[in-house]
Amino acid sequence: MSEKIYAWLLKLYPMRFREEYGASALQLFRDRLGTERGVFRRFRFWFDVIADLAISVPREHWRRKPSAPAMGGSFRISEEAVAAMTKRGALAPAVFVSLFVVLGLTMAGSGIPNTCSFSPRTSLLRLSRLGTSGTSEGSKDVGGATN
Amino acid sequence: MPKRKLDPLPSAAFHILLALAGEDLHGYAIMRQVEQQTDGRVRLGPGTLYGSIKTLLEARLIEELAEHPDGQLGMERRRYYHLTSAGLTLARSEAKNLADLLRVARAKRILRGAHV
Repeated sequence: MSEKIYAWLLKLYPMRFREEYGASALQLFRDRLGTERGVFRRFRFWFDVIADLAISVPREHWRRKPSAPAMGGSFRISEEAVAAMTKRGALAPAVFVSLFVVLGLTMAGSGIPNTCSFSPRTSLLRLSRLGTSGTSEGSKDVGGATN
Repeated sequence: MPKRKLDPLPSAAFHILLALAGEDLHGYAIMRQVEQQTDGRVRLGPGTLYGSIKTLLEARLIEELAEHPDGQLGMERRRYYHLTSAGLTLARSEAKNLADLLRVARAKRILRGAHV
């Protein structure tokens, strides 16, 4: 029964991994199941199996395909992240959030007030005020913020 | 390139390299060896073990043996792994880095008891 459950759980891994190591993983599971006797040891065994799945399944899905050309460290990670987000339809929200973060950081860098407690609504309001009353209010608020 | 994927060397990968330093082993024997060499603190699950083995194979730090030492009749075929010279060099370098850190920890009296 346990073996059948684990064989089913193995389907969570990508096809490539299962083809290469599915049989070996099942064999290892079988070997270890045979040695873990008693309620506590069985419980610990299943805990290990679940923890192992939680860590290794996402990692195997994120693993780079061997056919793809090699690229440098951080760029490779960014490329993988963007590809995965595009696949999951999460790219647009991520770009939107990034724009707000960049906007906030830009405001902080240029000394626009209250950037330490940045919120889009207040910042936009202040930006519109700056547009109408020039930079004097901005410099006043900066002084206030530093006090 | 191996340097990119295994720099820094993950703990599981280092344990596997150490386990294979003594002899050629199959997956389950590696798991038992790692459990033994860490006094039961590290128990590699199948996914972590074979994921790490795959990475180490791709980096050519270990290799799969074509002939299996226990290829007897009636026994299930197991895949045995062997530490390459590049794997040994990396394991040695990692161990040296850890030894240097240990020396610093000793000098600063961070460690107590049997380790000191």
